[in-house]
Amino acid sequence: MDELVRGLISNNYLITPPAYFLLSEYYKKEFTLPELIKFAKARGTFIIDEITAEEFLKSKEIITAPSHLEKFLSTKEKPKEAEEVQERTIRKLEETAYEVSKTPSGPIEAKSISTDMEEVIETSFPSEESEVITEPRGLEETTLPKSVEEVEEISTEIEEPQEITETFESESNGEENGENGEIKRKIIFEEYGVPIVAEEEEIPEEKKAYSVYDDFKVSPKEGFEFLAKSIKSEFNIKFDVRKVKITPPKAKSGTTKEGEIIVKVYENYFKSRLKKMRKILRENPEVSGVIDIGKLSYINPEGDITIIGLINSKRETRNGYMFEVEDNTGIIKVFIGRDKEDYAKAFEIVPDSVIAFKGRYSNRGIFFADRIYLPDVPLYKKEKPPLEEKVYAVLISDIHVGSNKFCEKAFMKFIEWLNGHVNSKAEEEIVSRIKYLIIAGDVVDGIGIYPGQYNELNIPDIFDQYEALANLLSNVPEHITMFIGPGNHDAARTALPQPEFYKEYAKPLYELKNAIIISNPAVIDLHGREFLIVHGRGIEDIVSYIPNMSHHHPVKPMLELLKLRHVAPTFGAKVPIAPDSEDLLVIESVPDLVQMGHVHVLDYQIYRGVFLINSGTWQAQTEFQKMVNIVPTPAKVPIIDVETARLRMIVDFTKWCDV
Amino acid sequence: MEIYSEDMKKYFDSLQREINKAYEIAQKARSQGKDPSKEIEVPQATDMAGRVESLVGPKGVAERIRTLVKEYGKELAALKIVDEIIEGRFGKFESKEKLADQSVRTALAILTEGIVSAPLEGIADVKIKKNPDGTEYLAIYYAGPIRSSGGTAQALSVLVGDYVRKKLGLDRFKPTEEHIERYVEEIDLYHRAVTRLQYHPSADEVRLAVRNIPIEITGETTDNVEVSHRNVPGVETNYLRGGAILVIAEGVLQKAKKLIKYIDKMGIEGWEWLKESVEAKEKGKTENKKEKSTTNEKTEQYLEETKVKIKKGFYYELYEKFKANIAPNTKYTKEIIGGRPLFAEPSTNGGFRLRYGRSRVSGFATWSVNPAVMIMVDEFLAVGTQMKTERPGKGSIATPASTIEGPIVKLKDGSVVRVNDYYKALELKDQVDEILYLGDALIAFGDFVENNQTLLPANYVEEWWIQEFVEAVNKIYEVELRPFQENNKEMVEEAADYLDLDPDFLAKLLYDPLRTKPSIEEAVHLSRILRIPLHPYYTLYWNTLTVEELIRLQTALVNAIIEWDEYRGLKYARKLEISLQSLGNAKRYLELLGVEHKVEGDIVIVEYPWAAALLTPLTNLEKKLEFKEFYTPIDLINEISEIKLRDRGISWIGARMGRPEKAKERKMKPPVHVLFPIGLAGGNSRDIYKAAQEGKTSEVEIAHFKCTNCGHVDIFPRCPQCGSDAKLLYHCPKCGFESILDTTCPKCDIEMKAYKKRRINPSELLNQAMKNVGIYTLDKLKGVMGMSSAHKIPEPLEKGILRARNDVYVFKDGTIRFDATDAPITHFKPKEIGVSVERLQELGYTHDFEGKPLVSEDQILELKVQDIILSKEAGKYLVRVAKFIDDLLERFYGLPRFYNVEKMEDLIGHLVIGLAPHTSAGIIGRIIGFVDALVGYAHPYYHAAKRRNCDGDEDSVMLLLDALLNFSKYYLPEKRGGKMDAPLVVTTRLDPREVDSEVHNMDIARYYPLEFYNATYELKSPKELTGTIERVEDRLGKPEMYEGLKFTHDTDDIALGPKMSLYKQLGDMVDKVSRQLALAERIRAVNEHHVAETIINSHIVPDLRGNLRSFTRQEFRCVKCNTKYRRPPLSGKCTKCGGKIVLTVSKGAIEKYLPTAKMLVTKYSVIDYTRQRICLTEKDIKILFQNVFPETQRTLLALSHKDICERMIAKRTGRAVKNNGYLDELRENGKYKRAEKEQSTLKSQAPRSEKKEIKKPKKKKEGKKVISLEDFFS
Repeated sequence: MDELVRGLISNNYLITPPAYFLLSEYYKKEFTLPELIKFAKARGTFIIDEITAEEFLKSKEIITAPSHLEKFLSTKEKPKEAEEVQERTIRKLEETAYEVSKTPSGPIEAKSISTDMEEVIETSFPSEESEVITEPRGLEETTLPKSVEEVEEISTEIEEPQEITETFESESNGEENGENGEIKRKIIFEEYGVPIVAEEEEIPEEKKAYSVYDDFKVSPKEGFEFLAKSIKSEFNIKFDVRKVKITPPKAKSGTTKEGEIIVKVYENYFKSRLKKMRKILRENPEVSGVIDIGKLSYINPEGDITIIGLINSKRETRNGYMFEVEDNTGIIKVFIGRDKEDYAKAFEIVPDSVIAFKGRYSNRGIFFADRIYLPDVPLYKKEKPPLEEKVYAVLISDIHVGSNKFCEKAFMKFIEWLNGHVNSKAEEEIVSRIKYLIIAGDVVDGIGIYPGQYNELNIPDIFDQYEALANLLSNVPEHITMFIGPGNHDAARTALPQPEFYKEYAKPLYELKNAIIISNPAVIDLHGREFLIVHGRGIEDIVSYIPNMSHHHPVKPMLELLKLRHVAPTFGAKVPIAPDSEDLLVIESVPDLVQMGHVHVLDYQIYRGVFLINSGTWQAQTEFQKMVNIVPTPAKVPIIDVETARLRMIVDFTKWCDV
Repeated sequence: MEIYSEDMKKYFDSLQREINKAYEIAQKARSQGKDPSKEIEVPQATDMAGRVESLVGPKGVAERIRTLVKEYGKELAALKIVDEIIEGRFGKFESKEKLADQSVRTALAILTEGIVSAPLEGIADVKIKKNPDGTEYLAIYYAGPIRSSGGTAQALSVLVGDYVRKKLGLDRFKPTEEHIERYVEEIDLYHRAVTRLQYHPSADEVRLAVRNIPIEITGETTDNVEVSHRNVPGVETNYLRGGAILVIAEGVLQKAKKLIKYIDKMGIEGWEWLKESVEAKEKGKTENKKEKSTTNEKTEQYLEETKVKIKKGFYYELYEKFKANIAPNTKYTKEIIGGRPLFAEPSTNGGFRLRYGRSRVSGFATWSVNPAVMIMVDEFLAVGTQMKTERPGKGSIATPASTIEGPIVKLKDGSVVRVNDYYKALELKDQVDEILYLGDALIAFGDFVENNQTLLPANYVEEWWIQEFVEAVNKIYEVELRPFQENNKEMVEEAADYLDLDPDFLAKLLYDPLRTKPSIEEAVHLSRILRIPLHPYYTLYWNTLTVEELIRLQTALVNAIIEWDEYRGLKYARKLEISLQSLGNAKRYLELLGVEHKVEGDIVIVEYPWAAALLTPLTNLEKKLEFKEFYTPIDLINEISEIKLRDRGISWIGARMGRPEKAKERKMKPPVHVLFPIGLAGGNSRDIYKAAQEGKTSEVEIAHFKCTNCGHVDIFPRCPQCGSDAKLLYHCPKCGFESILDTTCPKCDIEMKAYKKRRINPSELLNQAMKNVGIYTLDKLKGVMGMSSAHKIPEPLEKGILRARNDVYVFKDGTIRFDATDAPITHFKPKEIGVSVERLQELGYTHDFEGKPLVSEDQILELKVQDIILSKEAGKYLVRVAKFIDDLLERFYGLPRFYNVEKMEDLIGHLVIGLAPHTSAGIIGRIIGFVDALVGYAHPYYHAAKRRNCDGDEDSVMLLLDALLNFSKYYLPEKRGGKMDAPLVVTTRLDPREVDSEVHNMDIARYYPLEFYNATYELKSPKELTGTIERVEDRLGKPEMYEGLKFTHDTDDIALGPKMSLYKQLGDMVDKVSRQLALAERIRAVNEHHVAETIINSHIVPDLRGNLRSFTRQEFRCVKCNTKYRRPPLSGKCTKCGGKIVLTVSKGAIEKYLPTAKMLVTKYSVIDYTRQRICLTEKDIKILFQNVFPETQRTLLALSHKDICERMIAKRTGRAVKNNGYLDELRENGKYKRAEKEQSTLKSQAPRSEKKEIKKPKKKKEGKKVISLEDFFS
């Protein structure tokens, strides 16, 4: 059914067929739905009949002369019989047109209808008063049952045809000429619920004004040999938020207030972080002789000692940095002077990270640090046994399906490429060995994520966004296993960690045969290699807190996060943290690869054997990014050699990204 | 030239006498040394010069300013003063910097009339700094409050700075590239992260400005937002410098054009660059325009060509022109707050009908409406309620005017009634089914001038008709009659004779055409013989119908039973009856016409006079209306009917409710009786009495005084031991050195402080104080936790005891305030304000506004400019304040009582100080009466003297003697902005020339002439008519500026209407929103679905999402000492005091609006996007706590298939529940979204600039303000 009609119906307005044909060609070009509704409202009518329509067009200065009126004056009397027949044909026509035609009705069809219409209109002229009174009765009686019949044909739901008849009769009594538009109007006006529902039921979920890519179908290239098919897949979700059982603190008594529990939960959250981090830090042989902060004042230790604590605050002074550090036993001020070797590390410390300081405790209650130890990763990594066969993983993120800047063409090209539609021998080799596709969040653009998003969406509907994505991803060859995690644009918990997509909204994703939904963050073990997959909002805080960080080189802040061994260390800044009793955002084991997204720039680096990569985006530069001069790198796809967890190549689909 | 009349002089003299009396008493009290200063700290100023001297100095400058202003005008005088200060005419200054500082401040004070606090607070510092090449330059450090001075003054301060720089022989500021880029970033960042700038200059504009402005515009940190251009040499902060940003963007750059005028006027050199840039810009614009105009010409030509062929109706053409030139302004509808209803969509038929004029209580950004309107909009509107309006300005408040039209409503039984009377409205309000027409909004011509709003075509109204009537009589019978006044009796008789009218009636009609209406037959008769349009009262809203509808109506009416009558050979209908059936749709047409009718059974009855009003234009059904293209119904009628019509409903204005009205005592949070520190001992309510009862002691920071006689050190400015004067004792925080003379430590060279930590014993102190004032019982005595003033001098506890006894509360500066919404009034009746004729005569009101002696309570008097009419609420409170002052005089200072009031009438004649926020200069006012409305009525000049207009602003009054006795600068907080809203100086005599110039545009005519009405049909600019209608501006400098102001529309009572907006009486959001939507459904000019959608998007969703976001990033605080924590301490307790740690954003805060949102998306047809947003948010909230409250989680998820979100999900995920017939389901099934989306995209695309508006990132909550990546990557 046509948008205009639907729009009107949803606003409780109806349109007669002649009016529809009159208006449809101008709709959206010359006028908008609200304008029409406003106009109708001002005239106090629920029905857009042809007079209203012409008047409206006239008022919009779309047409200058209301043509029907001329005819009014010239041809007054027309045989009623003909008129009635005409009317019915039109209705039939209209319905078939609505039901069947997906494309706008062809010019020929339109023409024939419009001629019909004109004739019909002619009859609706209110001729001389005296005569009129009797005449419509005849008309009405013949017309009425017909229209009811029609309705019945369409819908089985109508239960009270009598009532319709009744109302109709009383309503049109002694009125001017019953113009056909008016007759229909009355039926619907009095009982409009029924016929409308009927119509709705009749017409199946049909084409939307936007595409959800349901007609996008790619099949593996014929004759293409997918070596990956024969490689045994070896994967294991090593860490997923959903697998961790978090026990909420028990309420002390039945009357304990919600707020108290929440405070306790957040307190436990940080205690859990401290505990996990201490374990990591103690793995560093240099971190030794650790003393609780609370003991410092009465042990009064001499010589170098180490403390480990959460950073409460950080302040630059004339001579260095002053920190406030807290552990379970107390709080202390820690100072590191400019002259110290580790002074530069002070820049890398963000609030709420856990750090070890080595130095001396002064009686004035200040700890003078010489050394700073970030949790960090070990200098060297154990070699992992080689794989028998080369196998590749594709890393992507930030697809933003639904955005009007989503590079759909490029993404489709990418899917085709995965299906073996390649350009070179080299690519062929790679594609044939791709076994995994990892998507690190922001898979759709979401709704209501930022003010004014509505105007920047092609698909302003969260269900359809996931439907669209699933339709695209359903074309990923079956032998490729997909891992899909949520990001801040997705229908998922807004605060970190994000366990999964909301099943009821992202159902199509869950129904994909070869997809595995993962949490944010998550660790996937592929053939014995650990891949840490994070959407990466933590990057934001690092960029704003540590000097010389920028969104243009996201791998730098990513590295800082790795060094701090936490996905989003600072509480109370930009990243929302959920009230959970356990901190699941700590990077507990050292990964072989860290993938993040979120900032839309492809960037990578190796640090102490760990491969860090930001996987870019599939969304072209948005208006906002343009304003603040952020240049994303859309449609560049990194391919990872699983064995080494290193970049094998980058496939560039940018040239198809022309939104 | 004398600028006052004899009467005015008497008035001012009497004010001055009262002022002197108060000062005398206060001086006696103050000199006892019980206060921080022995002097009264509110100096008097008669004029701007006086204020400048009092505010910023230097001493003796006032005289020079007066002379120089007379000679050179304000701007030049400011520069001359700079000359003289630098030349040393006002004494020597210790350094060049101080000299520069003084000059800049004094000059800026002159430029801002010495009212606002910008010269004090807006300029943090003036320094002389060095360029990299070693040359010296001048730097002005701006602070946030510079905002209060307005863009022009900000820009001028830069100009003055440059002038000072040259005068002092300093080099220009030479910014480095780094410097320049820092500004570019800062301005952009400020715009994005803090608040929208009114003018957001391009990067190049900023570069040009910074490069060329010869002084450095810098400032202190105003917002906690860091920049990326860090550590730029010479810039002290890495955070945003809000003051400097404002001065560059909204000052120099936005006001460039104005600034150039001043540059020329003041003859300052070196600013050619600005001229060039403005010229370049203008050129660009005109080129654009030219292009446009050529295309326009083309289309015009085209139009003309077609015009030749087509004959258009007069109104058809007018509507065309109107539509082409003045587009509806939807800005005010972009945001609708829950519980504050939309009254009318932009420029929508049935909304507020524009009526030009100014009532006794309107103008100056105030609309008058018929009080019946206030009732019919469910009392959401009350006297003083603010409205956000479509035009001419952005906002206004509502005041009553009973001589303009009220709403036309359709009752539940189908009858239509015109409700022009407040009491009738009260009677009918429960029967209303639909508000067909909202009623008139009386808007002053002056407001159109002020906002430069093109005049909209005037709707036909009585004041226009009477002038056409008079003109016709003059022309046809050559009898000179005058409207709105008493006419020569013979003339009236002669005219009455010609016109066949009763002479008494004619006289009355001429004198008061708004209240006097001819009968319908007379109206038709006059219209016929004088060939003037039908009287507007009997004109219906013909053009609301379409031509077809009109024809159908005429056709339908043929079946009516009509009773005919005759008057002077004129056939007219007395009564019309027609059955609903034969009327059919035409029933609706009758409603839209606004013709009164009744429905009895199934018969529609139109009675006298409306039957005639309906049928006469329809030629009594004798001629049939024929359709004509390009004709409106009125055009059609005017062609065939002998009786011509003018359109009474062309121009409609939209509005929504803004803030509710207010009249309430000012209380700090928590409320305070005395500015005395009690620390934590007083508990949450800081109750000193409680602390004393419990015998607690408390350690507080408090000022110390040392007795000059015996050397005793205590906390009182007078020695409790020997009764001698004591002086502030300064001590060095580092070495402990103490002195009563030095303020800087001679050893450590750091600033010493007058306060010290001290353990106080509340019980002891309170007992002594209670004894001192002879009061031995007390309920509570609320103090403060600690003081924020520089020396931390406390108030004497005695004052608090007396305040508590009289149940009054103190503000941070020591005064007691009463706040009220500002409302303008120029004329009043004695009976309205509850004052006897005799008392008014004593107060100097001897004659009414027409010059007749005052004898009756019903006469209309012109308000004297400094007289004010307070709300009764204010009266009640001020009575208690007056009692407190009397107690204070008697018991604390040992002086006789002064006010001796028992009831509020006793306050009449007493003086107050009016003072507005952001200003530092008060103005003396005299109470002359009270009204039962929550507003502060005063002369528009009086409000303008406080730099307020009346679009919903509020400010305060305090009793004069209270301010004189209790105000002290020593109580003011030391922080930036602390000096705002404090009576640092008080103006004793109001000079209209020295008030905010906005009021100069107020019109003061008795009526708007025909010429005006004709001009509105030509859509003229109001500027073209400024000579036609007299405004205040035309009288400035003459005695008439004080007296003889007129108004166009009278009202029965200035307080008629609901006393309090319904908004204030509604409870939770669900309640508010449902009432608001119930109203929206009832008003024809409002689309309730649009309202629902907008409430969700502009109020509820931002609130929900904002709270959700801030919950997961929230601060924690200690319940006891209020210490803030970024995250909870690991110990689980406050690390400072061991108190309990609590959330600052509760779970409840997030969920608060969810029920409202669900209700809206269920009940109204909002787009799916919006519905999904709400459902997702609900889910977000549920899921956030999944690991905290798993049990509640389960119960929450106990799903109901009736839940809108569940139904939506079921439908969309295929688990469809098919129960048909529900409209809800229809709407939710998501098939219409595209159409609807289209509608809104198109809508928002049309005005491109507005779309930007939407995109504006929401104001961030407190805390870190850095652009979020969320914004970046979304």
